Amino acid sequence: MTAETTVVKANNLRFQWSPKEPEILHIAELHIGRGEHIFIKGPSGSGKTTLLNLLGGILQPSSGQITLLDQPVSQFSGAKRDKFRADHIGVIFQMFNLVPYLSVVENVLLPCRFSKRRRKRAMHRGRLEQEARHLLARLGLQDEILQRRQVTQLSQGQQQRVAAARALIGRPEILLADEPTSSLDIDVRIKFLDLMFSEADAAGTTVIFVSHDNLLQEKFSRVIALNELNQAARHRQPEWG
Amino acid sequence: MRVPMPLLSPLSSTSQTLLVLVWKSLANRKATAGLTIFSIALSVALLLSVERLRHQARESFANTISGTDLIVGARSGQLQLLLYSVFRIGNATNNITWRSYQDIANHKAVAWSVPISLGDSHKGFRVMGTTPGFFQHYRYGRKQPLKLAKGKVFEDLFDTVIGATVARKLGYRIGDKIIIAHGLGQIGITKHEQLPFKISGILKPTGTPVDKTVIVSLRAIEAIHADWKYGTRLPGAGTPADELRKRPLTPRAVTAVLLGLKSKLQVFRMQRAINNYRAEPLLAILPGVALQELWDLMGTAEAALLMITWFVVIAAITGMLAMILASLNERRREMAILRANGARPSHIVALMTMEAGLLALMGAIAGTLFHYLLTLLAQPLIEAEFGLTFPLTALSAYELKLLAIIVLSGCLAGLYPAYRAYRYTLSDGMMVRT
Repeated sequence: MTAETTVVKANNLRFQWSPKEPEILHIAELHIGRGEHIFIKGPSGSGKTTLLNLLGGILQPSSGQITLLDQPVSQFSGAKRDKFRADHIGVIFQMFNLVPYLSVVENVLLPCRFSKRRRKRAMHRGRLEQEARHLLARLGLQDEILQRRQVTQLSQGQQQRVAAARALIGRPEILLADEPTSSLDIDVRIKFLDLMFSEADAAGTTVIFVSHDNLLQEKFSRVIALNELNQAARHRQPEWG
Repeated sequence: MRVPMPLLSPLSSTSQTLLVLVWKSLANRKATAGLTIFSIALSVALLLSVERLRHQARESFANTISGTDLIVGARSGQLQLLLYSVFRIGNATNNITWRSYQDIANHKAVAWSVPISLGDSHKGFRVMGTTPGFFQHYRYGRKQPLKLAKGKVFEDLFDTVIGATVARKLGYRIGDKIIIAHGLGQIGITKHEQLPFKISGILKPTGTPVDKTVIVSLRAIEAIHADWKYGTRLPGAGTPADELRKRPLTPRAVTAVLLGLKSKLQVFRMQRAINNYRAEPLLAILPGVALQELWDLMGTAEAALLMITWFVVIAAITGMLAMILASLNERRREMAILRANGARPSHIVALMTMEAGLLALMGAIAGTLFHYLLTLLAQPLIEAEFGLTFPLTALSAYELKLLAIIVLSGCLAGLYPAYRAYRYTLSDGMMVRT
């Protein structure tokens, strides 16, 4: 594997909120290749969200290094990390992903407002709005009326698909997904994953998916059990597990 | 409802993005945002109106009498002379003899002189004896002359011209007969009832004490006191009106004199000359200077009113702060979403500050419109009631400065919720689980 095909590299990564508090995360090594669909599983409290915040550049590791797209992100200043996230990372949460006072299309275009790079990449087919509608249609939201509806009137499944369109607009290299399917019905989950994967593949985006829902893991190219990866967890008190 | 703000153009800058976000977020909270803007608007309208009223009142006060260069009376204090000669408040301690008046009136620097004689009243309104020159030379405001609303200036000895307030309060019309009381009290005083006066004219409102004055001729004052000596009526005497009309009725004394000089340059020299007059102790004052001194005395009340108004503004901005802080907790997720989609902590700070600034700005604009609406509605009323004119003029530089101060303090107030939001942003990261 050449450097170019490695998207995420983490070495000796440690995180704790303060020196007095117990270590939450300790990962000796993590490599994720380009275009992989990674499933990171673990029970709640195993440090999944912390790992996503570290990869997203919101949190700084206490020690160790994170390299994203061959850039030493963990050595960047806060503003530079913010810019990197805006340019290269799409994010989906568990639920309530959308800004309630923006329209469906405006929600999808949000990353293009903060990143010039993603705006440019989203405009390769013409107008921004057109790209947003195109992505929504690919994710099964082609209805014109639906696109004009208030986001709060959409179903959970529809909201998550809007969030997926938003995470993928402007073809970011990395997609961080924090249990995006846990609020959906079982039959909808598989369909959502399929749509998300096909769009991510079309954009060349690496998917890092965090969940405790083991039913989904066979859809992924690689499964990482955070319990095994995170050495900090082994030393923790049982009630914290 | 559609929000009347266009979608962002693809090339818009981040600050424009933030402004649109603020706008849409506020539009999403129409009720609370609207009430906040309304309360700021009310305070701004109050502030502007009080400021204008204050300004107008001061100006109108300073121009209670204009075009008169000197006021002359018996020697007393500057304020006392001003109060009784112009405001009809209090009494003269002494009179000016007719001879002294003649001396002053014939001085070579004097262009015109109007003697006035006070001391009688009608149903609580002061009666002033003067010459027809009063109507010609008395000016108020921006050198506006007195104007008659109805009728004409007195011709007969027992004619009277009354001020607008007298006419309105007592319901008088042209041709009505009135009786003048001796002295200034209301109860148990003697009246000049054998010699009633006929109202020949009613003046337009001026906003000056002239409105509350019953004006008769100087000779008429002499006539009604013809049968009086040492402050009481001589028993049995009762000279008929027609008999009085034939007499010369030269006054023995007057209360004060309004003077116009040929040249403004002579004002101080003339003032000194009168103050050094040998035959009797006199005092000459410059009305503008005396009015300023009087206004300064009343300045505390004015300052208090202004302070109260500023407190109302502060209350409105505090209300806005409370509204934003209350909304903050439920908007933590919104901030996390924005952050996950590329917003920096500084963008979140800007968002909150802009929200406060925008609310204050809209409040200031709405308040200015309120103020103009209020002025438009109250204008005729205030003009009729107080004689104050309220022109609908554009905002002055000073008023714009006041508005800028309000909007700026709104932005500054927004820094506090901005700081709170910033703290949330740092601790929540991009994942808030709710």
